[in-house]
Amino acid sequence: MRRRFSTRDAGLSIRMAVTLALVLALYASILAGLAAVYWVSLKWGAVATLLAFIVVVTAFGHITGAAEFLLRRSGARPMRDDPRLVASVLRLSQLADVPTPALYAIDSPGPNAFTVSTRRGRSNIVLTTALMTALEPHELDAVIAHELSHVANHDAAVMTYASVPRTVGETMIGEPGMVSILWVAVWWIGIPLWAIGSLLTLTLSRYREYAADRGSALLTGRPESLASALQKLDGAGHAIPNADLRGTARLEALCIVSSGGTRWSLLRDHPPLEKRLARLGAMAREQGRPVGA
Amino acid sequence: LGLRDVLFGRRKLAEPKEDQLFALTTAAVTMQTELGLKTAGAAAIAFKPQSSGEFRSAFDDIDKLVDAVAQSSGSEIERKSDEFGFDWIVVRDDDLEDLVGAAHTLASELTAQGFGSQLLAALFKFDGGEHPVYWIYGFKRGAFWPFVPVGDQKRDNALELELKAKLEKELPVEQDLTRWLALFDAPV
Repeated sequence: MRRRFSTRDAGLSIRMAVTLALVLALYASILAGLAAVYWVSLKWGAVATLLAFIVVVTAFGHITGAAEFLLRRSGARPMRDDPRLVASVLRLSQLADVPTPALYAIDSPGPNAFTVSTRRGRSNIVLTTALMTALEPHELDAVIAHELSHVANHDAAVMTYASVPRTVGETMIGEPGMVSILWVAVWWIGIPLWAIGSLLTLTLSRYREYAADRGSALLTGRPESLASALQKLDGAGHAIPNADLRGTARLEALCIVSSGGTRWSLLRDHPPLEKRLARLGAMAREQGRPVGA
Repeated sequence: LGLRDVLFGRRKLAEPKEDQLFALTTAAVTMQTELGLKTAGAAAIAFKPQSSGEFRSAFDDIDKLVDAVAQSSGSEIERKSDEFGFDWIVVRDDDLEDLVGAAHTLASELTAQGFGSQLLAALFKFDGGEHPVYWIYGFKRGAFWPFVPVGDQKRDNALELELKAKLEKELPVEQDLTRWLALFDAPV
């Protein structure tokens, strides 16, 4: 009774398409705003176009420049001394059919991993030293497969384009230094642009995370490995304890409030752990693989 | 847990919930077919003994009952204590239903005598994978959680999460992962 889980999550694809359509609508509203200025006055229209152009270019500069800056400033060093990890990235990237990314390590007490795409289209996977000590090899593979899925899905590019309206809005609100009279004229347009843009970017970001989780499970064939890695990385103390039941049994009586707190998930760029684990669990059920096989 | 308990402080330990125990026997079928795991023929129940004479005399009766039940089902019974100050009743029987039955008898008798709050957990061992797999039943919460120890104070979280994913439809599995406490060096 071996079944494979499907490569696509139809519901997720639809929601992602809707969010992207809304982002396009936001772009269109910026253009409509410019057209409206032209309609009022040709001269001001030209000025507004020039300003919009500058704002968009600086927004792009902020986003793409930040990546390389981040990589250089974080003290990341190329990782070549771990042959197993290097071989694993090579194999997984071939399986995912993406160019093999470079591996970097950062000395950090917080376990984390992220992908940085530099301007030449090269992607770099950065792992913290804490991550490498906290995870088992198969869990580390699952995390790398998650990052590779981000690369394969072109998430860096998608998120860059999607966050332009938000960054434009941010620039309109946040930089009164340019021309103060103009700022008075545009800041109230910037606020809804920034608010709606942020909401859409964060929503899209969460969807891309789910997609990368699914991609990781498909690449490694072990959704439970990523699930296990995620519960170890989550900072909110969700990790399965190593403590003994007998040692903590007396605390049971003091446990008044369930530790499952509520968080306002609308403003998070990553989905909550429970939801990610639930999805990976559903994939594990679909897969029906015998234990240890 | 009611608001009054929170406001005025909870004075009593939680009573055990043993009624969910039998779900394990139905889940065992799925464990066998989907995961290739079968009972290792061993289970153990942990409880905190009290030094009071009242507990001692009540427990003597229960002990005899457990023995009688074991005799009728052909199970072997063993008693152990550990460095945490817990007593264990170890049951050996090839039939999972008899193991669950023994755990249930002990739990319901202790509860009937008013010592139900002394019950900690029941532990059921399964074989068939690389490492033995345990399902721990927490009497306080009335739920199971998986436990796969691999060597020194380490556990296989990935396999545990896979077990949860595949069995939570038929087994009441503890949803709060922080409560999946370990039972290292248990006597089975």
